[in-house]
Amino acid sequence: MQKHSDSSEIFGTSREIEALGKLIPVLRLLMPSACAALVMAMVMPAIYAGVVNKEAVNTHLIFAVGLLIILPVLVSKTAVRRTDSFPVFFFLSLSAAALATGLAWYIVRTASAAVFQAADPQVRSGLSIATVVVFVIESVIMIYDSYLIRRNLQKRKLAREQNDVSWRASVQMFERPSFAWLVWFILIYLYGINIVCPALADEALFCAFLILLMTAVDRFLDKTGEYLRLNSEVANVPGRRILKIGAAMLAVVLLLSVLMAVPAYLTRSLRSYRNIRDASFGNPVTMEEIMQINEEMQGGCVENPFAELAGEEEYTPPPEWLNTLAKVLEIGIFAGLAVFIVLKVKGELSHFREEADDNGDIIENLDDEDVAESLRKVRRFGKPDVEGVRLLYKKTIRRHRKELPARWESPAEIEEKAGLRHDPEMKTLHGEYEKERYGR
Amino acid sequence: MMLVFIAGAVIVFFGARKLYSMIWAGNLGITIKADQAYTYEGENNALSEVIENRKRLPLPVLEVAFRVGKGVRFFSMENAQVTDYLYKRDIYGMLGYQRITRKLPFVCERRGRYRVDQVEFTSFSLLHTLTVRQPVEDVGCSFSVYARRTDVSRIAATLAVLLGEVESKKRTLPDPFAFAGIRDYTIYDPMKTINWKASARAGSLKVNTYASTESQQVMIYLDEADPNIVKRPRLTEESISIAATLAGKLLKKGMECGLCANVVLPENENKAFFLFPPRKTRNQIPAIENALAYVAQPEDIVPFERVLLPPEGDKREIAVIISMNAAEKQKEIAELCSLFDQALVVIPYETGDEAPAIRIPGAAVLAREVGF
Repeated sequence: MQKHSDSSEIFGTSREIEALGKLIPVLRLLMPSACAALVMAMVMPAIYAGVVNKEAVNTHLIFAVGLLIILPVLVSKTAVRRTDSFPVFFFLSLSAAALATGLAWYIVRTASAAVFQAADPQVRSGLSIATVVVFVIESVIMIYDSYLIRRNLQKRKLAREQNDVSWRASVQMFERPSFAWLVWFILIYLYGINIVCPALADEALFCAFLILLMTAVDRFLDKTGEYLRLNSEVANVPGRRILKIGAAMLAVVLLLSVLMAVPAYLTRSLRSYRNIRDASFGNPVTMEEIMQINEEMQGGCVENPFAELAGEEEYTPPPEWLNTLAKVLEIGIFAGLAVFIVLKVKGELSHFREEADDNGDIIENLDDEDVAESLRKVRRFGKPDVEGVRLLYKKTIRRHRKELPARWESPAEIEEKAGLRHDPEMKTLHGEYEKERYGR
Repeated sequence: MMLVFIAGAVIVFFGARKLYSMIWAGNLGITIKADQAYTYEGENNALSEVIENRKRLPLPVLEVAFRVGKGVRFFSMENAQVTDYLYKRDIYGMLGYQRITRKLPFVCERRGRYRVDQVEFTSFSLLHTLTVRQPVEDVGCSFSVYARRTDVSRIAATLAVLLGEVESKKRTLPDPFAFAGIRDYTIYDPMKTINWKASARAGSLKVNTYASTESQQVMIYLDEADPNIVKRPRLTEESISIAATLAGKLLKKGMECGLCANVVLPENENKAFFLFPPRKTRNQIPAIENALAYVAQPEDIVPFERVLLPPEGDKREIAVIISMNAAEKQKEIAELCSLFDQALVVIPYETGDEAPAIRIPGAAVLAREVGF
């Protein structure tokens, strides 16, 4: 069996593969699989929330069950890259699909009371069968998509062997995470809003957020990888630096994007819902009404999904302090994660700053303090004295000149050799020194 | 709320892109310097590329491109494209407040004066959706590649014979301050020339001898014209190398040496050919080397007859004429040689060609074979 390496396809040279270690191939496998799973997992909650009118459906649990599709996705995508044999690929994909479908059916059957909380047994049975049907359809789509990806890879290999530069791969549906999938989640979100299902809208929002992050990371890896591959023949390309600096900048941009998601998350309660399924079509439904409906249904979208499983007769809302604690935990985890990312990026960059470059370049750090800032610091503790300004002068010269100035060199010569003769900041410092030294 | 999130994310991504395109080139500088201002053909030199990013924004990808004459060959030619010029492109990744220095060693393959220009920065936004370029004004980097050193021992030996004849003629005017040696006293020597200390030490009368301090003068005439349809660049280059090496040797020996070639220098507005009158000054060698470093274009060449003029003044000792077309210009060369005390004509010819067998009255002729 011939093994395909994702990373070699991406970067072409071993140096960059080494730079990112084993993380890149894993990411390149996981991200499209996760994207596909998120897209597929939204199908079942959307269908059930819409079809089972007035019936309480545990959207979260259905969504979790729907995520089981990741199993055939992962297996088929791995098989695509690991084996050249179609029967092996097909057998593995089919087995994984069967396993995932079986698991989904089992979970839904076993926990049907929790999943379809207010539905009668006949409806529950029907929905369980529907789950299996949906899973089978999704599995078929996934396997076919993986088959097309496999064919693409084979054609690419052939084109490379024949040096056919005109060949272009056709992009498959789930080959890569894409910003286009945001449209799908926006539609699901709007659908959730219009059938008064906050859980569905929340899930769509959450998935959109994940897709956005994954697509950004994937685009970065893809474009940077393509750039490095195109320049693989170029000498002295600092691939490691390019990847690390780019990744750090991407992390900062993504962190800002995450901050953009916070207001969307915190203002969930301000959403205006409409119910398109009953007579109130077109009229906004308030949050109080939703709560009232949920109470009437004794376990709606926002209720404890495991209430019946736990054998509780009646649903009792959690105490207020528990909600507060949950909110504090949410904010704490998010803030902790943000601080962790910032510190990690900062630490990585400062460590990276000190590292010698791998291609023989001489890297020097320039002090980010300008002269004016330094003078301000000197002045902070009162009037700057001659020694203070002299030290600053020496420090500035040392920063720009490697060798020590000779005894006979005049300040003008010293500045000339440091390349600062016409530097306005140096002129300021020169003037400041003369002012302090000679009082003029 | 979904729209808030999507709009926020879009604003962040496009905002970051716009911000990057606006500030990436700020406080970004480059200095390119040649390690040696001049080298000889065939030697190594290096360019030092120093890039400074004096701002907080890192530049994940920064390309630096420049143009230089194609007579040089970088050790890493993967980054270069050669057409009419050599276009070099280097890739960097820079953090904020950082300086990166990269050495670009190269071999000087062709004589010439080289200038680094058309320097340009190129960068890309984070997801490579935007390409931004920024040309850099003149970096003021130039260097010269002097003509290759060549073996002129045969020419020097012939010249030494001619120089000896000139020297012997000069002995009639000894310089009393230029002590040359001690010899035995003869009855024709005046008494004042007796070296009494040496006589006492030797036990017989000795007298001092004095040499002439008047320096010898050599004028080199270089013909760079190549009128044939099939050009012979090797002969042209060899002629230049002979002229440069010979001039260097003679000047180092303390002789007055001048050079005249039928080439118009690019900076010469009067379109006059280049002429360095015989001098013994310190900057005569670099001046001649620098002038010879110019790559002679066919349109820069003037007829050789125009430059076959004796130097100003009465002193005309030795002329060295280097011409691959000497056979066609025998008459003019002979006229010039008659104006000098001694003359040497060097005729380069390619291996495989018949050695030129010409006689020029009043001049020694030396044919020089130029191999592949």
